Amino acid sequence: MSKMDSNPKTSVSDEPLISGHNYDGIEEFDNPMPGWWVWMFVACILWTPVYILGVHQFGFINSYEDDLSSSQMELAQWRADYEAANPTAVATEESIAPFVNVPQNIEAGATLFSTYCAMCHGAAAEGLIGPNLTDDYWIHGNTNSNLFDVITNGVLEKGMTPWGAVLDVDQRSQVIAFIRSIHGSNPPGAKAPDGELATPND
Amino acid sequence: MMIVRFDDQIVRYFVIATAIWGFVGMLVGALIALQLPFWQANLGEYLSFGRLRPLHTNAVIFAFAGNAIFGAIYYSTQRLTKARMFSDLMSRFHFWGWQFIIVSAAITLPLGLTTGKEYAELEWPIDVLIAVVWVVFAVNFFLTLKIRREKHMYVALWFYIATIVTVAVLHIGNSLALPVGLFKSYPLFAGVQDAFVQWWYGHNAVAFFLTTPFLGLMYYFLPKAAERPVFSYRLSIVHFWSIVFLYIWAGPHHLAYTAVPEWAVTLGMVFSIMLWMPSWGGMINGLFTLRGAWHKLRDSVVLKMYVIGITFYGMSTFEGPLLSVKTVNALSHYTDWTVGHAHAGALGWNGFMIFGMIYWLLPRLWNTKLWSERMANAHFWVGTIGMLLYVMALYSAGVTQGLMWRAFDDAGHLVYPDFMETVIQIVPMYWVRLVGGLLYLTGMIMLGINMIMTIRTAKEKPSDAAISVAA
Repeated sequence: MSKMDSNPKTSVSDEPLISGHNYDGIEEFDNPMPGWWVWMFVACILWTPVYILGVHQFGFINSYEDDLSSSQMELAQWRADYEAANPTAVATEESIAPFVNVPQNIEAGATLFSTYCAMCHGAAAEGLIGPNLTDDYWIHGNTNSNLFDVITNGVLEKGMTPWGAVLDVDQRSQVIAFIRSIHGSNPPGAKAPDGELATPND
Repeated sequence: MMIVRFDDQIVRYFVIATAIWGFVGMLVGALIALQLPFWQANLGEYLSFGRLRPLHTNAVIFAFAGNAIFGAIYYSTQRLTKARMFSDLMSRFHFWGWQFIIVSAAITLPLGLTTGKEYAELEWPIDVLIAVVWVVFAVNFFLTLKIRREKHMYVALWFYIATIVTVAVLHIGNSLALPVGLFKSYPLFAGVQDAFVQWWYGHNAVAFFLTTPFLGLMYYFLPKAAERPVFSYRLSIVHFWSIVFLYIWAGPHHLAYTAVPEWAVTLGMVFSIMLWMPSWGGMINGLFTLRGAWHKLRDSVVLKMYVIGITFYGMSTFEGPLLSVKTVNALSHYTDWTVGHAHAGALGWNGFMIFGMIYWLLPRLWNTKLWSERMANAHFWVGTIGMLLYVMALYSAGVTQGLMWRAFDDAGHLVYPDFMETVIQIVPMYWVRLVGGLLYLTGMIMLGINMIMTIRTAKEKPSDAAISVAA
């Protein structure tokens, strides 16, 4: 393997052509392959078994599952540390109650509802993919805390999205205030009842 | 002695078709680039983004690049084998059959008739037609090789052989489907296996439709235009065989972090990385062939186009293996980085190689001078700037998206839980991309004008080249 020409422009004339190779006037030099090219190629080939065995046999390189579980643990630790340093206000019946029946909370809740909830529950909460929220039937309980839990954590098997990471505690309470304000409004196109018969806060 | 007259008329057909479909494909591309930041540009059901996007990709890949490589193959194969194409009838069947397929695609895709498989959207009757036309092309090509008057087959021909054989295998393999009506079929494979076959095809469409024929084209037209011998015969052998062997395994890297088992993705990734140097072998052999000829770039727009094309081949074949690395893919997957990468290859490599070839062929095919060297030079600059704006915009859009999706705040919650936030953030980049694309399209229009004027101002009727050979 000869060294690559450092000054190719001057060396071109004395490079050997391959005799007999002339195709429509195109000739070919008998140059060796550049050394760095060969060694980079060899290095990539040699790295292949190291990587395959490292991930799939001996485990010294992380697999998908390794990466996922270590990231999840890191995130859980991160959240726990943050929670310990900045404990969030816990929502209770007592903390949510003052939001209900307050016009400015209902209004704020209505805006949030149309942004985040209306696409599944309907513009007037009449029910679309999600249930009607204006009637007396509740699938996951009808206390303010029940509603708060459903909004916060979602109901995965029914397709309800968790909003805990998007809406803060006050915003979730405002959404509840709005939902309470439209109870019994009987909007047009209301979806058939679903769940247990109950009246709010009984 | 006897005279062998080449069939250059078929090359003229393909060159003209290349320019027409290139314009159409890029125009549709510009429209869908506008539809992303400006939804009002979705002009009803048939001209909405979802219908036009496959039309754009099919038009630029199979119509623009396709006609160009057929032109290159018909022009160079006859000269490298010192033989006229085996059958003029088959050549013409190939040409008109292919144009019919393109028109069928342009009708059925906006109507929403699609298999939903990327780059293989066309429904089964068109797939059958593609197979028939391709096989006729293959038979014509191989029979021409059989009657060749040159003992050795030059490297460009090896790349053409790899292209013709492998595209046939890929197309037929991926199109296996059970028809349930004239315009509806279901793939033979289901679920993850179907995804697997689809990306075996999809990745190797890039390899054997957008890479190997273009390397063949480079090996013919670059030394012709530079009037220099090819840098290294040995390098051409080694990088040819390593490309052909390695590329076919790399497909699963398109399916990283999906339901495809991890071992398959590992396989796709390691083969992609092994492919880096074989790809660069093509770039090295191209750029080093210009040693001692760099001063010619000043006057030759063809060589300038080739330098941009080959350089972007090198850049996108470095970027490809990089994106296949799982941890990089975790950031880049589903972002516009992928789209930027594809266009660095398509606009930079394929586009500029085609432009260079056409500017070289025009005066030779029509026995005249290029109508305007200045306009060709302007095309070079407008195209280069447009392409750079396009890819830079999408690189920054892609990285922005990827980083926003994975951003957590101090409390360990997503900073951008609402997907829409990450879309609104990159809208300015979409406008830059549109400007880049329009510049590139402008270059294509300049080529069209130059082509029309060159043909119209040609003094004599175009005649086919001939050589004398020992009887």
